[in-house]
Amino acid sequence: MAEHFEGQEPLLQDVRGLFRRVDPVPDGLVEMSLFAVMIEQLHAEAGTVELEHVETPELVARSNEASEREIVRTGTITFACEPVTVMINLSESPTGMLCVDGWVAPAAQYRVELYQPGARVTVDSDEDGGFVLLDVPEGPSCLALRRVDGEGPTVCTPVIEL
Amino acid sequence: MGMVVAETDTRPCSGVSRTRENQGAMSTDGGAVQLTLGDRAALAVEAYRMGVTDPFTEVVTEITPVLWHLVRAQNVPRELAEDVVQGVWLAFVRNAATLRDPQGALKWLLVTARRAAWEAVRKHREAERRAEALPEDEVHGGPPSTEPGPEDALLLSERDRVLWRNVRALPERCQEIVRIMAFADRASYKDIAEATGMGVTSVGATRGRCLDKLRTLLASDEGWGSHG
Repeated sequence: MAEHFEGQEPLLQDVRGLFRRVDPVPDGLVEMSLFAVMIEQLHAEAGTVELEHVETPELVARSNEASEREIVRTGTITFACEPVTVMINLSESPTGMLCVDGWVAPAAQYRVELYQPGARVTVDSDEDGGFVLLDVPEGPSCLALRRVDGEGPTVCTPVIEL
Repeated sequence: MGMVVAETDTRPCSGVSRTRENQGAMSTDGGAVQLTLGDRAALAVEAYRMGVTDPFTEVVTEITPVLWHLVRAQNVPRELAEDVVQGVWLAFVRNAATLRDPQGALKWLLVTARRAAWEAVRKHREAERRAEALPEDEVHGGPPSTEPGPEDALLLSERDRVLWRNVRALPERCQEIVRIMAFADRASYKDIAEATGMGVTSVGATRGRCLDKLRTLLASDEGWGSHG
């Protein structure tokens, strides 16, 4: 990405080097910005099919503010939004990361996407709506689900801190 | 896994309507047209409207450092500055559909970031004042420093220390301009100058003046002579 610095005055190059050292852009700021935008898009998308609002259990904060988000490490969380219900069970995988077991109702095959800063993982559930995401890193996360047959809207969970 | 921030050599190269003042900013490199940051921001807006997000991802990667240093130059504490930059990108996509002139996207980002930074500073100071008003406040430890800590200073080379000392000796406005310019391309200087409240006509002059001032300062600094 250095191309736009070509031909820059040497003194400005020195200044850039200096500020990179004294006040570096925080690691992950680009990824967090893109993640925030992705979630915004996801919600806008769901909004177009009038399903923006996803009911959340008390366990999970609704806020997008990281400081107000509940950290969830193990146990079962349920998300519901008529007519779809999603339950996920979190456990520790052998590698020390997280294993996400999920079920979606009504039973059908769903495309399940897990969004995290800098990453997106897609799995298809089985025909009963069961899915497993292995070795999920900790961090802010959002699940989006669409029926593979194209029926019904996209639903997404609020951002939770896994 | 990796979905974002894939560094790629392919460059978007069509669909941008060029305005007159940006035509001169186009640079060529071995015959290949290089789009300016402003062009890429414009293209990202237009692509985004069509549901194509790759150019946007690239632009976030490239312009985030510019926004970061612009926000930090307004004395926003680091942690708060992260929120401000994320907020600017969110505002950007919320406005992408209605932004009248995509060529103005970069300037829009700079202006929005600067205003958001001031707002953040204002709120932060208010919160501090309230904290100060509390009796026996043990948490309050003075205003957050935006200077590098002594640890950072120790890590700097002698050359960096000399440069830092002299950058800090510039008038505040010049410090800001030089700092932001260092992270942007030449074609963005106009947008930077406008966003930082410089008159359009004095752009070149101001940029030159600030850099010249820095050069003059460095020339009279013995420490720089032996390193520069």
